[in-house]
Amino acid sequence: MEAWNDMINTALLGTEKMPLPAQAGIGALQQAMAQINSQAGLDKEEQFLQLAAVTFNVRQSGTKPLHQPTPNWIQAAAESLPYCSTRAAQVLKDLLEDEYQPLVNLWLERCIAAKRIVIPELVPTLLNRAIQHKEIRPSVATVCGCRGQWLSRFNPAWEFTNTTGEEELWHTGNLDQRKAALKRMREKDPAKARQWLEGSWPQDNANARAEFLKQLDGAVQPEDEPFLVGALNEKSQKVKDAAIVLLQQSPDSILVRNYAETAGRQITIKKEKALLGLSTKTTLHIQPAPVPEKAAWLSGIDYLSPNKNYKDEEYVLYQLIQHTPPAFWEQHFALSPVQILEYFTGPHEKYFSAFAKAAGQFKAVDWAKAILLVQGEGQFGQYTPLLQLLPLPEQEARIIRSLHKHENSEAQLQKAMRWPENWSHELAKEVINYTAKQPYKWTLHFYKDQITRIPVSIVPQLKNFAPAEPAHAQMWATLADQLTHLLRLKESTQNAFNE
Amino acid sequence: MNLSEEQILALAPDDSSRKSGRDLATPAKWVTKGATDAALWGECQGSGSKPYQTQIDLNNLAFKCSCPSRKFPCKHGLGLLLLRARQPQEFAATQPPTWVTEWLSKRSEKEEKKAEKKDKPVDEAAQVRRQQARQQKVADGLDELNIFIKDIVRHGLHSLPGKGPGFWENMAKRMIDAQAPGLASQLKSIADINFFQEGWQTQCLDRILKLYLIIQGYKHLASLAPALQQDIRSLIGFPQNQDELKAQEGVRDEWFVLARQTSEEDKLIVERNWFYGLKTHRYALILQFYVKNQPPAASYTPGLVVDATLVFFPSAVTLRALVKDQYNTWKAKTHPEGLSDWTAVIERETAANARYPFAEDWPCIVTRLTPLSINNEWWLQDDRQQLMRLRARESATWNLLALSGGAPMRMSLIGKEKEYTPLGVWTDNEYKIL
Repeated sequence: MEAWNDMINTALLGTEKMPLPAQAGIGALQQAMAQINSQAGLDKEEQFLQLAAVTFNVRQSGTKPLHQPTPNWIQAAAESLPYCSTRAAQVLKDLLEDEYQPLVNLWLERCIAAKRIVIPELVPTLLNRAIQHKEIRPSVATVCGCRGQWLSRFNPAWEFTNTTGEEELWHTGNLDQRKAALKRMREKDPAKARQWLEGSWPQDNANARAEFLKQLDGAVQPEDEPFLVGALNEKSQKVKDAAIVLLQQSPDSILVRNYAETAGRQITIKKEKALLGLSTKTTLHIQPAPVPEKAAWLSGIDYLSPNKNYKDEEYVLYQLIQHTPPAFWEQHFALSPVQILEYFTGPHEKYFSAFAKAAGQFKAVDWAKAILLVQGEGQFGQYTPLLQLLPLPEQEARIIRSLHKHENSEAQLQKAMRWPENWSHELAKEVINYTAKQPYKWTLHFYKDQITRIPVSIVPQLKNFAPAEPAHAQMWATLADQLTHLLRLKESTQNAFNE
Repeated sequence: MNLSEEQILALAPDDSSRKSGRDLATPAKWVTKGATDAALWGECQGSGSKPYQTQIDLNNLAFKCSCPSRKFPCKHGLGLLLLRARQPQEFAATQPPTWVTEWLSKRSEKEEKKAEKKDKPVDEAAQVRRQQARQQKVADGLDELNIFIKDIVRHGLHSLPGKGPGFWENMAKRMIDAQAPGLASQLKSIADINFFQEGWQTQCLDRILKLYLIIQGYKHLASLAPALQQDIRSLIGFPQNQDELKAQEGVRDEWFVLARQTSEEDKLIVERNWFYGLKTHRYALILQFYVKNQPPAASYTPGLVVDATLVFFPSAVTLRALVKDQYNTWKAKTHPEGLSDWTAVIERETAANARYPFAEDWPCIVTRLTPLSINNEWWLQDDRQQLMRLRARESATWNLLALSGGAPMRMSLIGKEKEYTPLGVWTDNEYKIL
């Protein structure tokens, strides 16, 4: 409104410096202004205030809305899935307000499993939560449905809901985005991920190539080999190293086959006469070969021993065993894993741990069992990681047994904290029986983190875990109350979708 | 009365009470519990030896608890109400215990006594003398304020950002001395303007002009219509006798509670409750003032309908009102009528501005508004493609968008001229507070 702008301009500089605005506006305003200007005895300030007051009233009484058609405005698409129940939504609200992140994750899982989506008013809160907690982004994108995708058009921080642009992200994103996109695609469609990588390989620099190869770690397939072997010819050592690491993971790769053949030539079992030729015995012969310079089969193998107990050639052989699939030796010697390993318990013990590493690398369960058997119960030490290869019930039974007998309890607890499934009632009992004794060390934070693993069935027994020391007992009583509350929330979360 | 969880949690005085209230909403926490149509009660085992006795008057939503908390309502009251909302089957319809019936009867006795209370005899001559003295003081104060305003206008607004809030607060103190607290609070509101944000010039000049209009109105009081005279007196800060007001007949209606807004002013909580009469189609503003952590006289939850008689303060445009009698409350099952588009809103506003030019915001309900973004700014569009600017907190904007999905919605708003703040929306006849 022009008349009002004139008033503002005069007011800003002051009537001392600025002349009063000329009569402006139309009709009634002009008349009112003329009337004020004709009044005698008004000083300049009073005159201005009266003119401005009239203009102010005209302005606030004569508002006109902006008129603008918006033909390109798009509404959110209709949802194909039904909304979750009011009860489920209320549970989620409680979880979001109290920062119970593991239970939020559980709620999301349940919601997806029940083929439901979240009610619209919770969509912005969930999307905001997923900004910080990247791990829940895919689930949040799913449960927020079409409304979430539509909303993300207006907030770049919520773009993760738009899953259709994964390939575009691979082509146009920054290094971190491309790495994340490649990793996701690798999990979903390994061949396509490799095609992506091959397609952009000539345009990417050495650093990017090495970083992308690292995203394939742990999921190498025989089909990847030609591409990875090609990468061995790269100038950049970083890229070569990354390719070698991947090839070493594939039991059928040319690299691994070379390792196995070379190692096989150096280790043999021979029959020899004993007791003056009356009987025969078998003996292990190890002849580490001198290390030739720059041999092709030595890719990924260190030439120099960092350990004084191993000569250079012994160290090379050690690494070859480490990267050879254990199954090779069963064929090579025509013996069982236990029989083979027993040869490496005496003078040749220095190679024993190489077999353990190979069992871990190639996930050879029977070899892991054999190693633990030969090594003896309770003496695993460095071979503890092999326990992870055992079937879960067997692993769980070992943890329960060890915790009950107070054997290496801290290590067992660490295993329980990384347990891939929910704890059984028995495991929860042993774990909490241990942690309840140190309530100042294993605080509510620990139980919050583990809440999805702890079964609700433990609630009635929580009071039985009270430590003997009064100060600890008091602390545990408080913790038990809080844990009960958490478990009740978990129960509500689990039941939220039972309709 | 059945409140939703959202409505119950909106009663909580702070976040920790909300959280604790939710934690207490499990049957295991309550030793005993029961309900009738009029009341809800329970005994909660706290840290003391005896359980706390918590009771709620459901007709007028009042709380009482034997716990030592100064918060109101306390976590036990909230927990009990939440538990009932979540698991009504847990509450057997039984005879209330003595401690509940005693409290309820005391409450109704109190109400009756209040009604029977008669005015003490007053010394009318002394009252007139006091009024005259005050009028003189106010007139002197207004002269001083007029000079202050003229000085600002003479030297220009451009120097105001550098003067700081003290410049306005000093003058506000002078107005307190002149027994014109209404003007003092308007001066303080000028101090609250963000002088480093675009548009401060209009905000500042608007407020200065309102002060000028009040001064001129008071000088020419006798020539104004009686209702506007009362407005000018209220804006200056002359008190209104609420007992006299309550003695008036009032307007009985089913009032839809649109919003409850709270702000803190001079260590007082100012609560603005916006009502809409479902039968009379009138809006009402119920103000409550109370000290932090003290219970307000009454609780009005958005989304509820209150059957009550309101008495409106005399004004050229009646809006502010008192609750004279409250009979019942219930959860709204339908949506109120509303204006069809922005043109209707403006026409209503213009008529009101013509009679009362001092309003900060007007309430309204519009039947179909769509929130939409144009050049990264948020607008509210009606069916005639007319746009008004959306003024809301970021979180409220996202909630509004999430609820609408880009489709038009029935909306309650407050605002003026070209900017409006949504208070709530109706989706499937359910009122959602923003």
